[in-house]
Amino acid sequence: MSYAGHVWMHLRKDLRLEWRSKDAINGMLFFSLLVVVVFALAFDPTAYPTVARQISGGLLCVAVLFSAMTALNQSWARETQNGVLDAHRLAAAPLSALFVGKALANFLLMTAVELALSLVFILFYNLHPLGEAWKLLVILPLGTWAIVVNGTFFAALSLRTRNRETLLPLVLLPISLPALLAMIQATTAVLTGEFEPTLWIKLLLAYGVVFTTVCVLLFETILSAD
Amino acid sequence: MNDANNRSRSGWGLLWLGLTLVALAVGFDKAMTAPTEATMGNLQRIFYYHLPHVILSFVFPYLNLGASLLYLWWRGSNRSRALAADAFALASAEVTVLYATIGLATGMLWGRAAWGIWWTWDARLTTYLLLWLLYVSYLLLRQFSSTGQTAVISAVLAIFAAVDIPICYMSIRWWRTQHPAPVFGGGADSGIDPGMLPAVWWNMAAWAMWGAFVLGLRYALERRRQRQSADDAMGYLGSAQVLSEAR
Amino acid sequence: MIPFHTLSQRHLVYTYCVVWLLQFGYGAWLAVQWRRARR
Repeated sequence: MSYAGHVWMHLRKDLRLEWRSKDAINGMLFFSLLVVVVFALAFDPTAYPTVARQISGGLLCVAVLFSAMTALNQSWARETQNGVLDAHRLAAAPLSALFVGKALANFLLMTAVELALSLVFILFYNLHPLGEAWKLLVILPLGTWAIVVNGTFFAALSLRTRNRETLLPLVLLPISLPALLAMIQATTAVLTGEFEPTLWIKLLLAYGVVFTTVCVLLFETILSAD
Repeated sequence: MNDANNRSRSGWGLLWLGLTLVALAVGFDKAMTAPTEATMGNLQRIFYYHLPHVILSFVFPYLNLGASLLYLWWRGSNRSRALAADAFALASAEVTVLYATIGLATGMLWGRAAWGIWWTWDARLTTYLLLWLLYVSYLLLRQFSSTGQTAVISAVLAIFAAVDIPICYMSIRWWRTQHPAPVFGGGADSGIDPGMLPAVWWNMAAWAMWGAFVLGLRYALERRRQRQSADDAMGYLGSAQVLSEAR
Repeated sequence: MIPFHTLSQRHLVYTYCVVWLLQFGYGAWLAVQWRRARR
């Protein structure tokens, strides 16, 4: 089987498992909704409409980030049971295919949540993008991939640490800051229409390429760390 | 034979410490007697301590990266060298956090008194804060990881940190030029009165020497701990001592 | 005597004290740990 075949197999497995239990997606959706409500309380959008437009890009991305944390933490949980991880390590299939498959599965989950989240944001914040809205279809996936690829990697890395759930954001957030910044700036650019997001899109692209490469190369190292 | 080695090493260490303390004293004297700056007055003397710490806090992360790479390289082939590399990685990360903390603290104290603000999100400061965050997260990862894995996963994190810092610097630079904000002078760009140079150089040298001393001491301490746990594992120290050391 | 009247003077004093505290404190802590670790 080719590498892509392996990736597809892992992806299907994760999506199927997730579809059967729907644990992650339900948790993430509701959590995201709650986060939006909290933000709306903290930064009242109707009282300050111009400010709301300027900060809603940032708020959307922060909400995405928080819900990503909840998804990422449990994404490796099912691999720790029943010696599944050892089976993966012994199998002849390339180990990084497991990583790419899982990252893609997380990415698809996150995208589903983002769509719902964007809808809720538009409702609560009365948002309509003043810039070119189609660019959001490029920005959000790129930004999500940037967070998910590192997040899946660090979730695997912290698999056998104490305080696994607490450690993931502590390690992931500093590394993801450039991607977060780019995503927030690009989204704000499209929503306010005040400047061009091209520079930030390029940064997201570069970040994605660099860190996907680094993650794929180093995955086997951390998985066989013992 | 190990004892003789250790004693001579301690001897050199103490000599280095002595020289460092002398250099620090001279540096302090130079800092206090350097010509007073025109606009900021005596407050500007903070610069003589601030600058060495900031510059050195960019040196130690590279040492950490180097040691982490060496660890990953030697992990399969030369186990004992790999352990030494890992000890060095930990020591350099701790010293990075130490120097970066001091860089941030001195900068903030200076900024508050000179310009009225503790902080601003300009390119330099934000990247510097990120450096601090990355290496604190490195130390936390080391603390929380399970013993067998610590060295490998922290080495991997070190690689991520090294890749991330330039990307972060560029992205924040672009952010700040898009929305220009007041840049902290920092003093490094403005012309330095030649009368101030001795203070700058002496403190630079003194804090570099101190950094080397503290790095070496932390490395030696880590090596001692590694040897100790290896001995405990092999029961070398005899069961009574092992039991009494049990935490 | 140590000048302590204006904000500037106080911050200068604070800064130097913070640096010495952190650096020599860390050094002292290491020395104590070094003593405690045998061999």
